[in-house]
Amino acid sequence: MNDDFLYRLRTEPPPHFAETLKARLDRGTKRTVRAWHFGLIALLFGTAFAMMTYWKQPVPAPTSTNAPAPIQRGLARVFADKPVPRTEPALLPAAPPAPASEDLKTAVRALLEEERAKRQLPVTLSSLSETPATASADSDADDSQTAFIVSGALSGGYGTPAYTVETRLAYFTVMEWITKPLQDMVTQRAPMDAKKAQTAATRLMALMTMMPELFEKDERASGVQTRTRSAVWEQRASFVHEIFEFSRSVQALSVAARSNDEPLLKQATTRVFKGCSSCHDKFREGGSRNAGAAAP
Amino acid sequence: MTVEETTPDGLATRAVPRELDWTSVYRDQLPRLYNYFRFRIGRDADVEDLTAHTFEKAWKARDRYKRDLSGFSTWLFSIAQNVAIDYLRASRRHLPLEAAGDVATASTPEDDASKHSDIARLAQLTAHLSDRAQELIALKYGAALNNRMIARITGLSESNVGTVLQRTVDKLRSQW
Repeated sequence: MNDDFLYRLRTEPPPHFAETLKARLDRGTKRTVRAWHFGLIALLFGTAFAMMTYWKQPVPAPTSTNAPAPIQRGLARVFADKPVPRTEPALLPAAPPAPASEDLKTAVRALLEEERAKRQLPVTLSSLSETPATASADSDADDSQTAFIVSGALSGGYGTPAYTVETRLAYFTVMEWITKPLQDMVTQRAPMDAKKAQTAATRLMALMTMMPELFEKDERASGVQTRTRSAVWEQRASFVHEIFEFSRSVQALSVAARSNDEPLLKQATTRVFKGCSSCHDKFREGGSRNAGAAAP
Repeated sequence: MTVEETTPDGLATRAVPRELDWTSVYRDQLPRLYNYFRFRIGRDADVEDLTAHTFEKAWKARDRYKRDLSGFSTWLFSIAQNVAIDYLRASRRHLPLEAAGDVATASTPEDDASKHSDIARLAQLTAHLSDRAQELIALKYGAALNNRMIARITGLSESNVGTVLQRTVDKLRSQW
């Protein structure tokens, strides 16, 4: 007896066994892939639908009765000089954006820093029953769009809680994907890039329409494992308000991305992430400490 | 970035692409795993079950496979070791019904042929060895892993693996 003798005792597995096992493993893999693909496809369809719906909204009136004057002037300039693009190709303009005027910078800064504090927009579930088409005429155009986003809360959830949580995980994974370029910009791992910021803002805006829906049904009694805090359902108005604020931040990012003002863009980008953290701190177990990790 | 992996003869290492081709991984590892269980357990029917069980566990968890930390073989055989330990532990607690048959009735000609085959003879001899020696024999000659890989899997030093194997083979040779 020696090494060669012992090695010769090895034998090939029976071909039938090898084929059967491989087929079984492949079936298991395909099942996983199919489930994942199904979720992703559903998400993409939802996103596409949301984008179509969003871009079909009437062009927001740049002058509203209750917005501060600098904002009205700034937005009027944005929307008058460069009409809000309504088709996908126009979302990524080939030409670099024109330098922003001081009026515009002032307006956007005001939008970012002051307007919310001054106006203290009331957000209640009842106010969400208004769709953009039926919103009161004197509401701010951006507010009506944001209200439209938040109105997703009224469309109701469907499926089992486990399915909702699974979808939510996929949803936040996509969110993470979208915001990664922004994160790199804020952390100075990549230069500020208005084009990328604009793309991210557009995508986020489309995705935002789904967010309330993904937290619509109260899952506490189901026992499904989730990091979502009970506060999501117990303090519904506060939760919706967070979504409202976040969508405003994304809108501001979109405007700032067109301003060609790097500090302003950075400020708007940072504000988006603050919106993430704010919501996570209140409504996710572990808060924003695990920033970047998708959470159901 | 590459992953260290053993060649089919188990005596050398090579670099494989970071993104593993799971079909070729399966093709490469199946004979190793199958023979590992043949040497370790000895019963062919159970060998297939255990091989399948190990692959299924590995396939389910392959997303968690930390390719930077160890080679795929190391990871796979760590799973196989646990599967074998669980199996052997359960076998000691609950002897299969066939075991009673072995006592009560005479062996069939097929059984006799099987028992007198080399692998069956080896199984009889290794049954009296320590668990560690049985494990090393199975990894070395069944899975065809080299001493370095075995050292990684078992936590022994490479020289210790070589020494134990040499002594074990000498002992088996004297009893053969």
